[in-house]
Amino acid sequence: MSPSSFLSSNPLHAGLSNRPQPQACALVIFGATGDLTHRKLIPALYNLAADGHLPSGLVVVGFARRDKSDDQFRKELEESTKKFSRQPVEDAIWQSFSKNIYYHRSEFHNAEGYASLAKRLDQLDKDDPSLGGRRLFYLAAGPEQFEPIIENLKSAGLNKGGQPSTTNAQSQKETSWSRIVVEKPFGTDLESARHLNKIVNSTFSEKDTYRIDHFLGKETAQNIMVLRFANAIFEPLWNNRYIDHIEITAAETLGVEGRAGYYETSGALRDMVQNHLIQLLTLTCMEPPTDLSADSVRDEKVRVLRSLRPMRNAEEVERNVVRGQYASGAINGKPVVGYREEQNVNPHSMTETFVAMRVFIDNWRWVGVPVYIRVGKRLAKSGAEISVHLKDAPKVLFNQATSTENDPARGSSNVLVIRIQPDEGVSLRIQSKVPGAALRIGPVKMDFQYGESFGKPSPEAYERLLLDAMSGDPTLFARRDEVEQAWEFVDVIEKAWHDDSEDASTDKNPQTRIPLYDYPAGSWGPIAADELLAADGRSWRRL
Amino acid sequence: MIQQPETHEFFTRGIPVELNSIDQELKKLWQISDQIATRATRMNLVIYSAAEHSLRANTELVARIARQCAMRAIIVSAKPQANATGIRTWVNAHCQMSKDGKKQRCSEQIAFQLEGEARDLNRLPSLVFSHLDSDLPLNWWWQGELPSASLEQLFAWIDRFIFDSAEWNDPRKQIGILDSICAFKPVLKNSLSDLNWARLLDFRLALAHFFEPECTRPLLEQIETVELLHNSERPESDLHLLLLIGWLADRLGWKRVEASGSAGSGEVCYGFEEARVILKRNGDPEGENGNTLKAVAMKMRDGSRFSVMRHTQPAYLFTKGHLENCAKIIESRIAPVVTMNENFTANLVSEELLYSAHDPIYYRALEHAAALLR
Repeated sequence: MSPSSFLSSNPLHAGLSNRPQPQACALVIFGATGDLTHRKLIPALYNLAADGHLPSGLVVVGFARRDKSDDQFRKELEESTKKFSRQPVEDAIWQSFSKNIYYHRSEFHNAEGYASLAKRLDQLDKDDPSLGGRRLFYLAAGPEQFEPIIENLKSAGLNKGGQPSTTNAQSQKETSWSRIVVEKPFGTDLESARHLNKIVNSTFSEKDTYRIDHFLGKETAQNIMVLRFANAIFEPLWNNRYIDHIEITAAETLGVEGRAGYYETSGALRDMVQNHLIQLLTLTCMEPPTDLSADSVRDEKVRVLRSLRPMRNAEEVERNVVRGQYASGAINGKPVVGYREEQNVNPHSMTETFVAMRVFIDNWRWVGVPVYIRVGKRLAKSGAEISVHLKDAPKVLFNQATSTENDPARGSSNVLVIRIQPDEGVSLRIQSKVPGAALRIGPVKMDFQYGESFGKPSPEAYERLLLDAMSGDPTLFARRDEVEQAWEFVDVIEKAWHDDSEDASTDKNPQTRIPLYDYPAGSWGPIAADELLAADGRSWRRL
Repeated sequence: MIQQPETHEFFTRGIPVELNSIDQELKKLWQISDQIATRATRMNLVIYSAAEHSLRANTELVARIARQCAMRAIIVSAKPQANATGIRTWVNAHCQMSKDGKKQRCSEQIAFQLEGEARDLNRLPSLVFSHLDSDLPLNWWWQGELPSASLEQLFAWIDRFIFDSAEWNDPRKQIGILDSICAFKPVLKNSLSDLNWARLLDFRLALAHFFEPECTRPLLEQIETVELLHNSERPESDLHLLLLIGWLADRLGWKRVEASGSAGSGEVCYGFEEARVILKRNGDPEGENGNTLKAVAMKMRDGSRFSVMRHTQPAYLFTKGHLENCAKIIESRIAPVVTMNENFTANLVSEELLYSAHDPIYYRALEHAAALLR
């Protein structure tokens, strides 16, 4: 290894890591006093620091409007990190980590605040050349603040990397950079998403834009690609010749939990389907990428989105989508109120807390294979999973007359289940002979449990995502066209519901054409969701 | 805070069984009437030792390792003083509660005690191989001195070979044995796990980390001196120290020359064209957990400095860099990758089993270290 090659790669890192190395930078968090910062971002950064993964010299600047000092801010963060960190907080490590945390007070719309932020960041670069003029701006504020923040960043010149403070000519050639991380929701519909993308991309290039979907940071979501493409066994079957249908479910027992202010404007379709579930759909149904570069992977995901059969009108929406809203019921034996009785919820709210839909992907691989997507609050059990249901074996030999024929609930088809959370893992249901003299066939489950087989706890999703943003690896972030395609798909549904609701509210059409079904909290959703599959001769998999 | 699962530990050898009924007896372990247990296994781990009382000590180690790595463990103890010839066998399970508290996850253990002629190493393959879990990798931990006997049949099947060069009395001879093992199975060079090398992981990570940013990368070619602060009794044959030097020499392309300048009292010096390495004793008692290395301090030609120091109570690494070109001091504290508590050895082995790389870096560092042996 010759000295001249040290500049292109660090020879000491060989064998220690096969991932891009994160670069020290100034991480500016907008919305620093909010929930996300305290519950997720800072605990994630602390865990990275404790595990030695955080680039040394990383500086965190919290940008928010409340008046507080650096020390006050650090104290508050220490308290919340002790509550939410996945590992105990060690004092020595916290002291070392937190001394690089600062607080910058400003309103989001105040240009002066950004000018002074720029000065502060320049000074930090001077004080610590390892920062290299690199800035990562994290928008953890409410979505209504994104536009003023981005515009002010541009006005203050913060969309360009700072001036690295080094006399080394080679180092100066290395790029300082300026990146932006945007939390979901990215827009509220296609028009607003396009508008927001325009604002973002007029300030930051697409390669410097990181749209977070934290589901993608989960180990199990990342494992979908590994399962499909690192094993020869599945790919030959992963198509319409062998697969009958796919179900993607994200169920919660929780209700709106104090987020009514946001949820009333969002609903389950925008909150979960447009982003998380559609991301899982693309990972499950994509073609193998040519390589593992971010764009190759994301290109294939976008192809799935482009192949989604759009719902052209309200009739098709009504036929393929069921929306629901939880009524009072019981969760784990304890009574709970219905959605309209929750605090800050309009007693006549038409916001859906449940969505079930049937979608089709019209390409060679998937034509004719329905994908059923289901998401809901206050359901019987919490869990997110993808289940791939294979077609039945030919009705000959063992499948001609089996014990399962009289017990359809037991099922005879093979089912591969990828459990995203909790109880992360993969299981495969197969048919087996039941011991005994008679020929009886019954299902058995082969089960791999991620957390039990790999004893060490996985990093949290935000740890992985923050590291990737600092490393410049956008693979696990949504690209502009992914977001817009997903909005284009759900917009038709939202429009059909919205137009319908308006008709109802103005008494033009008091009977809403697209019903919002009640379901008791603690059930599996409205009966109409079961009928959606029953119409196809199928039923939902019980989690 | 995420609650850690409860652990039920069984540190006895287990249930004594007949050699030819091991599989049957293992199945019986799973017939637990009022509990739900899952047999979990990702790998086979065989531990061989000829030391006294190794069976009990290794059972305890396996119990701790199994918390992180589901496995089938086979412990082989060659009893040093034995009058009779024979093989005694036990089966055991190491269980811990799953996160939801609903079932136990258990790893199996088979223990063999070899006495008399049964200790013949050539009989090992036939004893062990018939009890491996099929389709899963074979990790073999050879405790103590490496076998001088040619055990090609054994090594042909080993996927990862674990040992601890800190246990070697004659490092030069042991390295020779390791060379001949690797000559027989060259691919094993990439799958060697020396626990003495694994103990250096924190220092290697800290050093690699410091030189990662663009402003410090050029300093790699400016390293003038490296001081290793240690408490080894015989540093010139302490592979824990020499491996770190060997790693730097291999990674940075250093060429060995006679050391220039005199060494102080108690110091050992190694010379390279590019830099000088000095081993300095700090006078404290022998290191904990085999860690004789206490600190590494580097001085660059431009005056910049960087040091990594191991702190023990509480355990962390303290790093400090002084960059001359900007008069900046950078400090940080990093938690050790492998938790340094009473289970350190088990934690170290778990880390190797789960995360060690398949690359020749260790072997090349060892080759350099061998050249430094005095």
